[in-house]
Amino acid sequence: MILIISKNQETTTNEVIKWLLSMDKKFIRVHEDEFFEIKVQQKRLYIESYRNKFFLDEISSVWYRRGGIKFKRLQYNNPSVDAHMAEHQHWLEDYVIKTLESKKHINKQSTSHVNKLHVLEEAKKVGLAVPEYFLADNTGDVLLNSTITKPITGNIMIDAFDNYQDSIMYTTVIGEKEQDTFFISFFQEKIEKDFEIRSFYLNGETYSTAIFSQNDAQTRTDFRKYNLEKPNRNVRYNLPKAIVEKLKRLMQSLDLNCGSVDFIKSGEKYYFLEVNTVGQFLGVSTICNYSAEKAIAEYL
Amino acid sequence: MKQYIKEKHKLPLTFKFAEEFKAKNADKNGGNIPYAKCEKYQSDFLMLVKPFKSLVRML
Repeated sequence: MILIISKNQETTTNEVIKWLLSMDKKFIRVHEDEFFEIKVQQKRLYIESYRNKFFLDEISSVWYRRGGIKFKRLQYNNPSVDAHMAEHQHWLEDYVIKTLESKKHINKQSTSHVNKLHVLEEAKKVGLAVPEYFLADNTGDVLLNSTITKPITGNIMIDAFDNYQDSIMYTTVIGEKEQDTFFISFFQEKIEKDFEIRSFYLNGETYSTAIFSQNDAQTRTDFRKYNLEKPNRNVRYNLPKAIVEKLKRLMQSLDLNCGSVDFIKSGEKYYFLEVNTVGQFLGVSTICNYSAEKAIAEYL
Repeated sequence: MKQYIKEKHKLPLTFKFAEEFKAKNADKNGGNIPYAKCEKYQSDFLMLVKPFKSLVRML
């Protein structure tokens, strides 16, 4: 039985499931709103939510896509008992998660949320070229028109509030100095690119797409500012073996076996930008006929 | 953002460049895609119609 940890509304998960169904593989899908109780029956642990119930030893492989396995925690009246029972429950939960993560898996709940700053440091350690970057609360050291800023968060969206619509924080080139200080922000050298490369990585294999975003003012700095009237040209691309080997070492050091990785090609150099473990890959997979979703289903 | 956000603490510079997108691109991105509940896929959000995907020029 395959365990899929995802969300109720998640198109990529549906596309992988389409392949699982065609391969006649059985699966359990966990949604983001499920809280599990840990129970035992004849020495076998199982977990149960309002819509799922399964023994841990039934699970043969796990795909961590989004969300996570969450647990119902009991609270106790006496503070001392509550403190002890909090730890007791913590270790049971930890055992469940570690047991599931010890199975054949694609990414893990415990390591899937990566710190962008840490990833850049690890990328440099394995020898990947990384554009110079720094953190600052002012623009004193910012070279105008050759420095970008972008969020250090995984989620670059701001949900609608008050009079604001849903917003997205694209990578932006800094064109003017700020008078005031601001909350610590991430700045990075802007690289003049020949094109961008998005690589879907799965167990050492890369499925790369060259994205020709540099000739369109709208997509030049961030290709996700999609030009729907005249889309960027996307074509299959083979990363050099040396870059793929470095990427493998990076993914191993981050304890990841799946992710979408962004590079910039500039002259002879391949600059590493970031790895997104929960990123969308269906678009490039479809355009380049990679069937990455089939590769996931086959592995599980 | 076009309007100034009032907050008690300072915000990262990325907020200054955040762009509202939903209203502007909802139709083009297929914002009104119909979904169905589907036991087979164990989801309440199986897309009934796939969003419009532009043809992409090849080399």
